[in-house]
Amino acid sequence: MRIATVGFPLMRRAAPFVLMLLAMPVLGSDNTEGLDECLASARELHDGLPIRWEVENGTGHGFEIEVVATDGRVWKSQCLPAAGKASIVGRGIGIQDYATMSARAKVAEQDARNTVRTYFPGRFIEMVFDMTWRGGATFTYTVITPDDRETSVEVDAASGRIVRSKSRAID
Amino acid sequence: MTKLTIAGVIAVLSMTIGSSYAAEFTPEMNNALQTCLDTALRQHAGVVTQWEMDSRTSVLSIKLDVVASDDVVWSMKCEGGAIVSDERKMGNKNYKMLSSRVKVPETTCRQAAVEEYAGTELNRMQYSLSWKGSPYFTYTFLTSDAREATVDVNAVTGKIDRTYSSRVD
Repeated sequence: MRIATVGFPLMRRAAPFVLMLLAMPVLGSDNTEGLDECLASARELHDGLPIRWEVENGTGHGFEIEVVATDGRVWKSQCLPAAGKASIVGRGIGIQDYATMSARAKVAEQDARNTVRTYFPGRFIEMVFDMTWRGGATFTYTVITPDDRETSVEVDAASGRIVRSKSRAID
Repeated sequence: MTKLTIAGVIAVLSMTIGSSYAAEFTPEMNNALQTCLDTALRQHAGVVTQWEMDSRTSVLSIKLDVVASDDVVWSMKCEGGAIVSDERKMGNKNYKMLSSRVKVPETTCRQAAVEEYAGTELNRMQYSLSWKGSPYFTYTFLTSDAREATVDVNAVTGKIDRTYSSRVD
């Protein structure tokens, strides 16, 4: 009886903190966990600008990364988040303009990704860095929302703001 | 002088913050909107095919269209829960077809759309049929980062089927 009277108010006070602690791993984890380490590892292999990444099967078991090296060559690599080490799987066709692309990407890709995560929470599928016909640059993300919609979100690589978004229910 | 400058900056900031949050779609606005819709439907029983809300004025003003059960389309304006203008629009619409397609009430669909763009300004609703004949409530929002967003809520399932947003500036 004594335990109940003493313990209950304590439990009630501690409950929000316990809930917060329980929620932390849930809030912190998503299917891009380990991606930043993988991107860094891919850039160690060939210094340059990541122009594309894809989450394999949308599960986060592995990432496919494309980097435009400083000489304009496109390198494809794969990386397991558990290992955090990328390995080259091949070279893309053609040469890209690294100087222009890197100059246009004023916002860090990770920041753009966080903006997308705020407005469109869900599972990331891929990111593509692209130049627009006007000469600007965008990070385009594909996200699957919890209610099963495929969403495409374009983030301006100069300002970091969302320019456009589109979503459609997956049939 | 410094105190005056600081006070001025605070005043301007509070006005800016106040005005940017004033347009946010709140539960109070939702209640006011619902009151207007109910009043309009009491005047002309039918189905509301569109409404447009102006929340930037001191009194919430809502323009809405109702297709009455006799297929006549009425355009109304509601302020403070009362209908202030009511006129007939040209042409007729098929009330029976429009009303029979809706399986989920507009209020439920509105809730789903508002949850998608929480904390933003809700401006418009339009009820329409897709080329396949599926009924949709399309809601238009203005987001805090200056994007105009549309949300298509399926009136049969109550789920969001499509969204689109793009910058307005």
